[in-house]
Amino acid sequence: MEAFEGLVRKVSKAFEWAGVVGILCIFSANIVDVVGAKFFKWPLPGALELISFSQVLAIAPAIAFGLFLGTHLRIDFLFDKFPRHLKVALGVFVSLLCFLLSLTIFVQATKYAYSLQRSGEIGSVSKLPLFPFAYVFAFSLVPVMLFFAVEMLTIVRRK
Amino acid sequence: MNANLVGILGIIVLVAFFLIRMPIAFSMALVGFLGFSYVASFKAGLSILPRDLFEQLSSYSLSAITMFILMGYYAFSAGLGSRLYDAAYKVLGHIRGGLAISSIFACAAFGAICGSSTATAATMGKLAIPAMKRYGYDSTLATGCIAAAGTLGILIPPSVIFLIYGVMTEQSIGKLFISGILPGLVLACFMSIAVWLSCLKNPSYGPKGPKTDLLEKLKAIARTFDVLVLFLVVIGGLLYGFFTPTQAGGVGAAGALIIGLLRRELSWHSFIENTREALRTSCMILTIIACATVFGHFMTVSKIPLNLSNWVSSLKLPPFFIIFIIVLIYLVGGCFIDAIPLIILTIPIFYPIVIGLGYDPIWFGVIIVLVTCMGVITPPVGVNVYVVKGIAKEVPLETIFKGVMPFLLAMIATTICVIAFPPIALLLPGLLGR
Repeated sequence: MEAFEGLVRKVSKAFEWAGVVGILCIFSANIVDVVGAKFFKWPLPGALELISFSQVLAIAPAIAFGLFLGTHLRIDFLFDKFPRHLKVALGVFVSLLCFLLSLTIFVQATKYAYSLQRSGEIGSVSKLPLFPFAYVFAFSLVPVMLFFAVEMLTIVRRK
Repeated sequence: MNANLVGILGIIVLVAFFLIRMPIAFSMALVGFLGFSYVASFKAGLSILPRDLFEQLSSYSLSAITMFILMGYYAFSAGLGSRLYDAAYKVLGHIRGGLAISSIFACAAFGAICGSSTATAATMGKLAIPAMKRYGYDSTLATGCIAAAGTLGILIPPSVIFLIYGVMTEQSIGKLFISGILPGLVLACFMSIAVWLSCLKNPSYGPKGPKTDLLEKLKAIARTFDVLVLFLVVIGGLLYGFFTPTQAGGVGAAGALIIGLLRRELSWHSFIENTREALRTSCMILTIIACATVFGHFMTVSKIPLNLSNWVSSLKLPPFFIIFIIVLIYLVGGCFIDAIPLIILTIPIFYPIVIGLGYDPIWFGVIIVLVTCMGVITPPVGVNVYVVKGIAKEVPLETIFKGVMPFLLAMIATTICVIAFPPIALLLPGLLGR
């Protein structure tokens, strides 16, 4: 179990590093665009789309490790007052619901990415295809699902 | 079951999910998806789920939030906070309660380059709490003052809350930003009065700090010149249409990086770590916004915002009373739900009502930020109080909550002033935003 949790954590952390590259892409594209537009009358072509799509690369892969770190907001004050058995039951219930939701989003996002791939939709200025970003979004849900699976198993095991 | 009833049930289930510790973003996506599927169709629900999330995550206007958060973290790593605190400390530190007052104004100044209340409280807390402790300040005043003054970070531009409000209501980000300046200064003054009154009542709360000569004061102020330039470039550029909000945030982040490099206060390690922290904060906020869009679609098909707005209009109540009720809802809600999800959830419902009553959307944005400020220091979910607790580990949580109370009164006084005298919020946008 520890080995599985460790593996999921490592995968999530690797995804977060991909997110770091994404946020630096947004930052760099922004600066190149501003400097180019204001000083050289040469704005970065398709900067708006590049920044928008880079945001998917930044945010989606960072979701899972954020869950490990507890940065995604949860309301604890009432839950902490519940009796232990109720906490276990509710904890499993919540993890299961979140797992099923992530799974649904993963399946639907993969279908959505495939539909974009088939239709050949591209950014109007940058001409960047949309489907790779949709796939990144979909596959970023995999460590999220695994996080909730680990969370559920951990709660059951500690019971 | 009619759509309205499903909508009301959806809100109840959402609150129940919050209370059983489901992540706020996931609660909104799940309830939104299930509710939308019930009211429209399951197929439609499955279809909007990935589309809403993907479209929000790839929204250019939301990238401004990411960039301003990055700016705040780079400003922190560039050591801008310590120079601001040093200047405020040298100017005001020698008067009674002066260290607390200087911390408040240092928070206000740091708020001018950072749009987050927690980042402002964390930055200033690390500098000011040890200093106040060294000079024998009471821990109630020292910790309460930092937790409360950190909220100036979201009132004085740039501000993440103003950005979210602006994106959601399609208002000018530049006008919203400058509308927060005067209320921010008024709040800083009221908070200083709260410190002064506390020290008047109990002089041992805030003894005088060391005196500094005029030259030292001027030197300390001069060292903050780069912060002023950064603020003017970012906010001025945004206001006069030179930059889009995303560009302004990017320029601000680059400016903070350059200052940090020139002053040799930024290391490769802190650059990477602060980029990761900025990513985590942005990820948390954008995930909530994306999931709230799914919930928002459910609310739209349930027709709750529309019917609520019509119902409130039909009540023939004085507009002032309705604003009072809305502020009260935010105050109570802010005690239990974090500021960002609270405003994301409620703005689609309250905004049409307020605009229908004839109020100015910019003014309402300021009111929203002010009540949000109260939410981040009130128990049990006073996030700034927990940030300060993380810095002053030996101070009990109850002491910090007790310490923020005089400042909460200062916030209420500021809110009343802005409601009674809207020009406090609207004067600068009217003068500069033409």
